[in-house]
Amino acid sequence: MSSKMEAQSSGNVVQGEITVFGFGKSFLGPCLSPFNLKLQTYLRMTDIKYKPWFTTKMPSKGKIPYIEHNGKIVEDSSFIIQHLNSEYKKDLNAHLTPAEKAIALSFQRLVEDNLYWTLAYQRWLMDDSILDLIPFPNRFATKLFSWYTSLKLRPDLRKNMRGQGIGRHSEEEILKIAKLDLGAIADFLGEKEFFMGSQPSEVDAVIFGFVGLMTFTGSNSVSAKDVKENHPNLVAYVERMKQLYWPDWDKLCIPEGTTSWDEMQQQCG
Amino acid sequence: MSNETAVSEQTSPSSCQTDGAADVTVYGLGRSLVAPCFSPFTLKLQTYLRMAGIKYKFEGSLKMSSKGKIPYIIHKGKQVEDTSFIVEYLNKEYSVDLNAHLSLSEKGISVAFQRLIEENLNWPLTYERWILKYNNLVDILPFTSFKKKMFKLATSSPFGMKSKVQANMHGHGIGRHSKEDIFKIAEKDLTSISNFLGDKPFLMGSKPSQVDASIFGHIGILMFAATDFRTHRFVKDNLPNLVTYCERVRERFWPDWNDRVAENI
Repeated sequence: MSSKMEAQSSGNVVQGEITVFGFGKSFLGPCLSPFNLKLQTYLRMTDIKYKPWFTTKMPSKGKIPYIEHNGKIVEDSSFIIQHLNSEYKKDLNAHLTPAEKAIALSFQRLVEDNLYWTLAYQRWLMDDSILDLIPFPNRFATKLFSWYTSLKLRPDLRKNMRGQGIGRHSEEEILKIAKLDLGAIADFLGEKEFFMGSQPSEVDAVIFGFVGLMTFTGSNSVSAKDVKENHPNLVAYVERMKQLYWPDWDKLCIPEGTTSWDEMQQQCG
Repeated sequence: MSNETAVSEQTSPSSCQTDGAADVTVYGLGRSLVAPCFSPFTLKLQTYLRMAGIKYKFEGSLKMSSKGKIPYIIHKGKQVEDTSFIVEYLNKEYSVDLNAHLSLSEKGISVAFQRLIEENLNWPLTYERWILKYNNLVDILPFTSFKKKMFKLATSSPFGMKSKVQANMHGHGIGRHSKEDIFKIAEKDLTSISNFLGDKPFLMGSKPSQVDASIFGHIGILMFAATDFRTHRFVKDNLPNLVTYCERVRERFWPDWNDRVAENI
């Protein structure tokens, strides 16, 4: 347990150390992005030391999070995991049969290529509650970010969703798709301790990254309420994962009332 | 909830498709020289209709639905779009449940594989069709050489299909990867489907279920209508169970496949 907490506290850039670049923490969680939470959960599951770092700079593929490892930048959470599995000789899926690995991949696709968009829609396009998650130094900064959200972030998301296809649906249909996907996750999970059985595997990082982030930092969303009312096994699962791999979750959140920019930067390491 | 059934249970899959009047009309991109329809989603939809024993008519059309999607159906005057919503709608209208024999866990798995095919694998295959093998596209269309020239002009213009595909891929995220990485993603997905399928006759077991329509829609087109694709060769060389699966599904639900393709002009 203690090695997982140490990974967070290192403040020096050490040879071989991994820096995870992301959009930083919120009042309710250690990451704002589900892909970032997926990646950090994987690192904790494999006991790989890392340091999170706040950034607004996008790398070449325009994907966040990305890592820096021994001077090399690696992007895309799935490629990062593949890279680190190879570098550190890790394999959380070693105990799975080929058919089970296939099932795990199919659920990863369900979450990252489908459910993700319905959750992003709820988080960014249904209301302004996302602004309550992020600390701002003053009211002007809040206003500035709100403008940025309206003028750039939301139109970009809508454009991406239209390209992907899901953006052409009505709100009711998008929420229906989310319900179907979460139902499939809960139905397959059943009463198992981890997603694929009694041992953790890579897909647990994916499920926790997305469903966990929604549960703990987006509890007012339609989907979070749906999970709470209809899938108690899924609620219990994310609680278990949080206790096991993120016992320091509450300590990592930005304290309520933080407004200073410097303080927030420091919080992000 | 309507308990109407379109046909008796004795109806063979091939007689579901009629050239005469039917309650359900499917509008989709038309037939090609090598397949009863050009688009994987249209093949998925028609395969579902045949599995469910629902009579339908297929109209090749370039006209999109109000959401800008194709295929769509008209059922008793009502337009329904998006193949997943169409299937849900028709399941209700005709009291069909192709998944009745599956456990809850199996139903979850079948949704996941549907997403893998339709929300991920679909993109590398679309990329190969519309970007890499774009110049060969017209070879499988039943057009006169003049129409082929017009088709190429229209689809490669700045507002044409080709640039739309590129924009959509970028929106999805896969468009930011290199060509080699896109192929790696496709191969991983195809290998996973093959590994899960194993020796089973259908994806979920000994009986066909709803997800087989999705799998066949995409991989059927790949195996029968895209023989020059790198992904086709990958399946042929490495995943023999997927090859026999496609042949099995075609034999069972599309015995009239060759009668349904377009004639060369």
